[in-house]
Amino acid sequence: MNTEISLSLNNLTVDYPGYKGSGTTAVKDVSFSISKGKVLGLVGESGAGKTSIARAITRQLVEPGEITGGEIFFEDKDIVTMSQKDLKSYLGSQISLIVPNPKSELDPLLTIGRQLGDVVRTHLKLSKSETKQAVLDVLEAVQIPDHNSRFSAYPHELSGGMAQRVIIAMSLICNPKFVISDDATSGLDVTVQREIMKLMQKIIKEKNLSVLFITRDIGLAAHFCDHLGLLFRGQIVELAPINEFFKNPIHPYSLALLSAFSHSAKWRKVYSTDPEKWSKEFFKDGNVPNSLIEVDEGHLVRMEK
Amino acid sequence: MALLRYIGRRLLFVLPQLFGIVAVSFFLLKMIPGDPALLMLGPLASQEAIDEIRSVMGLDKSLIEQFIIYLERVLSGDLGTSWQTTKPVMEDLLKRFPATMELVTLSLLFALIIGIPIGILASLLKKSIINKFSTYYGLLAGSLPDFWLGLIFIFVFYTILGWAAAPMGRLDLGILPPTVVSGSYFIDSLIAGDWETFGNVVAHLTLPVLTLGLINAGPIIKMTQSTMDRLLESDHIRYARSCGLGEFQIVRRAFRNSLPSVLTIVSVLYSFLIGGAVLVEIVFSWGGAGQYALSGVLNADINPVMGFVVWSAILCLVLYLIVDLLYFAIDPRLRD
Amino acid sequence: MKVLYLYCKDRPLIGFGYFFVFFLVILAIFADLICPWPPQTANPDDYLQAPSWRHLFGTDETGMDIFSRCIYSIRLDLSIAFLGTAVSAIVGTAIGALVGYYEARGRLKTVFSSFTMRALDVIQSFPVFVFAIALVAIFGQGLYSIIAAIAFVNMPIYVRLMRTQALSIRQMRYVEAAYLSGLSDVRLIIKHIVPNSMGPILSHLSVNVGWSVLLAAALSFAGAGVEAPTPEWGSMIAVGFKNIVTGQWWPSTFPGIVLGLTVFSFALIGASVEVLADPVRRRAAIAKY
Repeated sequence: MNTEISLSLNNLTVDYPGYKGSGTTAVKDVSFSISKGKVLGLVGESGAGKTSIARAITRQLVEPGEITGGEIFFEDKDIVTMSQKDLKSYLGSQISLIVPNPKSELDPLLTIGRQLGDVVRTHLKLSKSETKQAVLDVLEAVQIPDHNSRFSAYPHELSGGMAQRVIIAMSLICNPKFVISDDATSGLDVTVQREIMKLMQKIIKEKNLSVLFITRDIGLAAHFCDHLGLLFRGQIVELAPINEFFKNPIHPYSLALLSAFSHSAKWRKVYSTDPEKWSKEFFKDGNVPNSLIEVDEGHLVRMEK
Repeated sequence: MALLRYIGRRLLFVLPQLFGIVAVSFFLLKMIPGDPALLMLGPLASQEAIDEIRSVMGLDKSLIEQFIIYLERVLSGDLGTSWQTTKPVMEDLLKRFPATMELVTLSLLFALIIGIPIGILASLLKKSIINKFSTYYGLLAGSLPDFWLGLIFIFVFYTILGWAAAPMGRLDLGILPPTVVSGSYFIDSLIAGDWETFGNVVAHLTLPVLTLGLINAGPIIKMTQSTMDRLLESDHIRYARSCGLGEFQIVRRAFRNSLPSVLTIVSVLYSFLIGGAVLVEIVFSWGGAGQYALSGVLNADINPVMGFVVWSAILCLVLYLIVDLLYFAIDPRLRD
Repeated sequence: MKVLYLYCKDRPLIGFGYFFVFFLVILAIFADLICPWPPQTANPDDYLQAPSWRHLFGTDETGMDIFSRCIYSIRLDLSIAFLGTAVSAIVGTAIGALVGYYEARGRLKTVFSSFTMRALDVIQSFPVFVFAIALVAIFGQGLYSIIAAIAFVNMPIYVRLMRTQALSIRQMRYVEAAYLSGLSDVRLIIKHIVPNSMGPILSHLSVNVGWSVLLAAALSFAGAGVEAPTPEWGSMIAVGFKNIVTGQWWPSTFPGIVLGLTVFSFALIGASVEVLADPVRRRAAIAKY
């Protein structure tokens, strides 16, 4: 059973200590696991802790954030306690990250080919010509037109969608097993977004990747994921297989989110609840209840016992 | 093509500035009390002789006319004569500017060689001693008078230890300067392959370069450190980290991105030092251009000062052009 | 005050900066009581004495006591620096506020603004030091010329600082509200723009005082500042210059050390003001308490 799990989080907690002990806990007791070849969508509003989770998995938290509890298992190895050297050998080759705002994530002074090549050469000991071939191949794989000339292009010469493809190429180039997509399409036009999503879907299927798909757009997640987790104030409030989630959403936050995203009046009515009511009910004294309760097979909801 | 346009725009912006500099300095210096004719001939000269000299020098004309005449002469490469050395200013400056440039260039190179590694290390090792050191070094280096530091070095390394060459110019008295190619003894003696002279040149350069280098390393360290700090936290470096790139690669990328800022501070220091090295020049009897201008100011000898101002403005212009070319080489975004 | 104390507690060096400046001021005020020798009286019997209990810092080639001269110099150097900085800050701030306020406000006013900025470009592209010396030469050697030269050379920084501030504050709602309610330009600048943009200017002041001390000393060293018998650090270093090659290090070394420490102290104070003037960084700096 365990061999099928690609990545699992056990009670992960991330703190940002502040001054005079006034710290913030950005991620609190988060647990989930992602099976091989599956996509877990993590949906939440900004500030819910989505990016902190992504950064915790790659151990790239912004100062002064730190992992204060829990474990992150990637194929039976705990990333939290791993040495820097081991971590480096995983990042980019086994676990890779797709980030938003691709234009500021690429080094403005180096060509695309060089940046992709650097990643390849760090992880796979390839010769110069092999490296170049690998880069050209991956550029072709992410459907960058005219990839031979794009090889020597600089990031500022690319459109947003093109740059996003480069980032995807970067995350795929070493054939990773696990990909984290952190709000990857949020900066793009809707049409470009669609193309990118189609591309990602195709690649995930082809390469049988495990994916943690972080987004604010529950609609996007619906099309894309096998499981869905809802993140609210650093905690998972509902976690379920995708069909189950849309059939039988339970947590009021889920309902509120769904109603906000629904375009048809009917659905909006089905999902809508009074925010005043649910916030009172579920956050006694401003706290989210501590227990996740399994209401159905694989369907967890945070509520009072 | 983009490069030419870029330089063209730059020139368009700088030429009026150059004119402004010449104009302002001309009128300022005309305000200096003291009649050059009188200074030239001495207090006992007859009124006719003074008048004659005045009309020869154009001093009886209006200021504006004098300025126009001056401009015409400058454009034809004639900077007048210095009454102190009784030689054409152009000739004097051609001898003295290489001395200053040699000193300033080597000092800044030295400052870069010590400043950049310290700045990078201080930025990488946040909690180390080197971080604390570099913070206070920046403040301290900016506080010490360079002329005083030069004196202390002379005392320690020449007077007491006897290691350094005498602080009396660029060469020992017995040694002939190398054949003039660039005017810099450092380069010329290398070209001539004259190792004895070269050794002597280096010996004389050591202390002044050390003085100016240590002082100017301060701002370079500070700039390197603060831009590296910013870059190591930047999106693309963080992303490179999460791609598992090695630490060496990361630092190299961050440093490459911080080069433009370092370059900027170096160009600012360079243009400052062309005139600002004058006190160190005095201390080491360097015979540079700043020293020449200074004695001009103090003795109402206007032509050397004007010549110096024009020349240093042009040198700054060339310097900024070179810096622009380097920006161009570093940053592909400028090429469009 | 309390914040300052807490801030310095962890940073002894910064504390030293404040202490040293305070100490200098005390020394300057009580110079007559403290100094064992008159600062300007030559004493041929005692020329070039090495430091001893009799002459704490030794004597120079005319037999004047260096310790006493160093202390009397504080008065002169600090007054020059304070006055020079004050003049440049006041004039520079005023010009900066006008330039910033009037930028893009109508034809003539805009012309005024851009002309001033171009003029500043020209002034700033001069070789600073030669420029300052030329100014002293024009005004004639003397105290006021040095102050004027220092003020003039430093002014562009304040104009620029203030202009940037004025440009952003001008856009604020409350300034627009005041403008619409008919407040005159001058009053608007005095009441709203200047008080709200003092932060960066204050933090620059201290650094600038130190820098002005350095410039004053440099001018004197070059022979364009204070003249020889008057006690002044720069000119004392110049006087001791010839002796250092023959081994009498003290006439130059001590004034240089005092000068360096003074400038360093002002730089330290400037660094701390920069942090303390910014509410966020201030909180972070004294977070522990």
